[in-house]
Amino acid sequence: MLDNLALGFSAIAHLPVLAAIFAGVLIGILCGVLPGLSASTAVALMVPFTFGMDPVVAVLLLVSVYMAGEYGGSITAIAIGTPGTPAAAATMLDGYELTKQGKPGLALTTSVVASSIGGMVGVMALFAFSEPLARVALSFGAPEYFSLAVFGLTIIASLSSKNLLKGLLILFLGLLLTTIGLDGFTGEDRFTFGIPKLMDGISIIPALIGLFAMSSVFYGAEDELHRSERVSLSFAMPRLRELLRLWKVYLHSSLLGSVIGVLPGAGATIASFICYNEVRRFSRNKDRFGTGCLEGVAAPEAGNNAVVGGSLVPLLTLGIPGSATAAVLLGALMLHNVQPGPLLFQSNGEIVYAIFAGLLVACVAQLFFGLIGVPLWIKVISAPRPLLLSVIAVVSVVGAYGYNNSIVDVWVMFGFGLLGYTLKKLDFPVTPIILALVLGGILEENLRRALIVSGGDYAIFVTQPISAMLLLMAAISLLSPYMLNRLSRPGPEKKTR
Amino acid sequence: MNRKTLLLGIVFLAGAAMTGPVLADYPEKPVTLICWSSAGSGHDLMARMIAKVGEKYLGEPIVVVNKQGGSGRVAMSYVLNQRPDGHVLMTNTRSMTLRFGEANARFSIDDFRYIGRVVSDPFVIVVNEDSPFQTIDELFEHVRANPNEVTIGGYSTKSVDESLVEELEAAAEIELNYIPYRGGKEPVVAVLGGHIEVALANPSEMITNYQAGNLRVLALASKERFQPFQDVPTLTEQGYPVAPDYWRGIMAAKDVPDAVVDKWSVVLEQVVADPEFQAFLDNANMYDGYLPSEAFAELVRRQSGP
Repeated sequence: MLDNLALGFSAIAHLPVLAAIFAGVLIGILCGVLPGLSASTAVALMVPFTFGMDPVVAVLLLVSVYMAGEYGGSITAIAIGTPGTPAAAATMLDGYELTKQGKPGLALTTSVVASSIGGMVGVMALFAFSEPLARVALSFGAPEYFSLAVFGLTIIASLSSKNLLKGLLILFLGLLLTTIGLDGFTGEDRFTFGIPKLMDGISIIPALIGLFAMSSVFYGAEDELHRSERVSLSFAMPRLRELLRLWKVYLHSSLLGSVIGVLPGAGATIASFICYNEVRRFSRNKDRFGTGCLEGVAAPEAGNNAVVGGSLVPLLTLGIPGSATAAVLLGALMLHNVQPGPLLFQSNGEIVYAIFAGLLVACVAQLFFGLIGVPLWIKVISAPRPLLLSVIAVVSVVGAYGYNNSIVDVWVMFGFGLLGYTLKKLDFPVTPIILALVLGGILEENLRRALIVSGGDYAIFVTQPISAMLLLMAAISLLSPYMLNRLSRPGPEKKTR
Repeated sequence: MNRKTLLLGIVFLAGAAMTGPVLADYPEKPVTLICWSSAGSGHDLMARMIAKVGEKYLGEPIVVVNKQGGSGRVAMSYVLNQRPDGHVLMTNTRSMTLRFGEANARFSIDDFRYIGRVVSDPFVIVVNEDSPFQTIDELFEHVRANPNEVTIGGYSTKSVDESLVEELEAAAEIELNYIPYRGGKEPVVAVLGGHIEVALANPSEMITNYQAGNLRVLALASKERFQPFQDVPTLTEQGYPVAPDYWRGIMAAKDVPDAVVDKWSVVLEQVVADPEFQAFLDNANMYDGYLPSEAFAELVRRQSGP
């Protein structure tokens, strides 16, 4: 096995390949930073540029963009409270809190360290366990995906620990929004009002930009009129000891992220939220989550970068893309006469090992560029507020349009901007909408597909072992806060009596 | 508005009017090829390959722009809203034109000019290697004994896949349980994982798992056998004349001048015959389905008729 890794490193130890990896990391970070350019869009945009390249150079450029794109999203999430990629929405929960407290350096550094470690663990999982992980990918059918989505929705309990009712209200509003679009089973129009663009439903990227970036522009503009005091940002970095103390979080989230990444259709956003939730569940100081704790930044970031390695498992071993980005990579590989699938390791072994080695190098490059970038980003967000807000507004419009060259997406973005602003004013949480937009489609589609397969018999969700286990975990996840409250309550009550 | 801006406006409008329908030497500027599928999909790769190879035959760059949404309707309405001077074309597919026949269709077959068909992918019927069914007859026998029990997965609803299943049900007098999926690969994955029993797929979607011995091909849904499945009988041979294909081609708005269509017919034929394009088809497991303009238009008309 080590021979193979050595083979991989020797395949990438050429100047053009290393240049491609470094360029890919830089491009990926920048695309991740820009809301509207998610990792998958960034990779898709790069594909035409690889036409004339050597296959190894081309593939490594693309996977490096993918890896760094997943990290780059967290920079915007932490710096201005707008996730640059959907997966960074979970990072924002604690990361942006730290910025508001004047400590962006802590969050930005933790994020790049966690991302790079997560990325490496994901790649190593891909390298060491590709066979068993591929079997995990195949074991998920319609009932399993439905139950996974149900489990994902229970994260709401930790996202809105202050007021579960408000959280649920917003979650259901989000689920309602996912019903917009063509019905995947009957082809019927649902709430499209005759607008062809809406037939595909609400695109998550414009919604994300509206909910966070545009709404913050509205909010900030209003704030600026009242001339409120602002916290000054410090350049303080976390100490090495603080970063090392998080090793359990890195490991836990990286492994979880790798496994979730393997499941085709789950993806980085779901992984980020689940990692955030699970680390919070096992943390001794649960109450600090959401108020700016480093665990809350490290967990989703380690998770969503571990997804990269994970999602390459079904791609390379079965020819099935594990995420939207992996789907783009599949096309690019085929273009370069590399046919991903069960025979890839025999037929093009060296390219597979080059991907392993290259991704490890990309993680190191990402750590390097990421750390250099931290003071730079703090400088950027220390810019005068009116200037910053106008730039955010422009980037929001361009990002929403550029996502699919459609003006309808710009209106969707503005609509969600108003929605986000209103919710903030009324003190409702915004993140549950993202959770619903990501999971709603998976939930509905797989519920219906499972029921067609079973002939309308709901028992299919509990007779399938994986599905049953996930549903049980969902129930525990939702009920455990109440049970724990009950158990812990008699103590203080006795004292008062 | 002062006089100066008014004057400027008039000059601009006049300028715009003059550059209007006068067709100089086509193409006079880069041509945009609208792709209705997402960047990175098989369809998108075909468009980008046409753009890359086509540039040297057309003499102007070809730029691929993705306009996703509404199963191609977003792209269609965009193309119809551009000036029909031939500088904006779009890719089309069988599933898109299939919808022209629907009762409340937004676009009709006559809104477009059909420039040429490029790719024509046949369908295969596959089961897991562990499946008890060795031949299509064994499968049908089981289906007849258990109507509506056997699950068969395909891409999307009201699609070529679903109509293939319907034709098959009619021809063999059987009832299958059709499960629509969002992507063409998903049914193959579901068969590999044992979640459904049968899948419909184009060769590019299943070839690697077939070569690795994870899948068994029961029948080819085509008139004649094709590579690399020479040993597998076609449905037609078995007495069920069901042979649809999933094609991809290029079309333009209906008011595009004849000169543009003529020019592009020549270019497209050269592109498809180009060794680089043929190598791409080979790598991507797509099948050369070149048809010139008139034959293509006739095919679309036949397939979207009542």
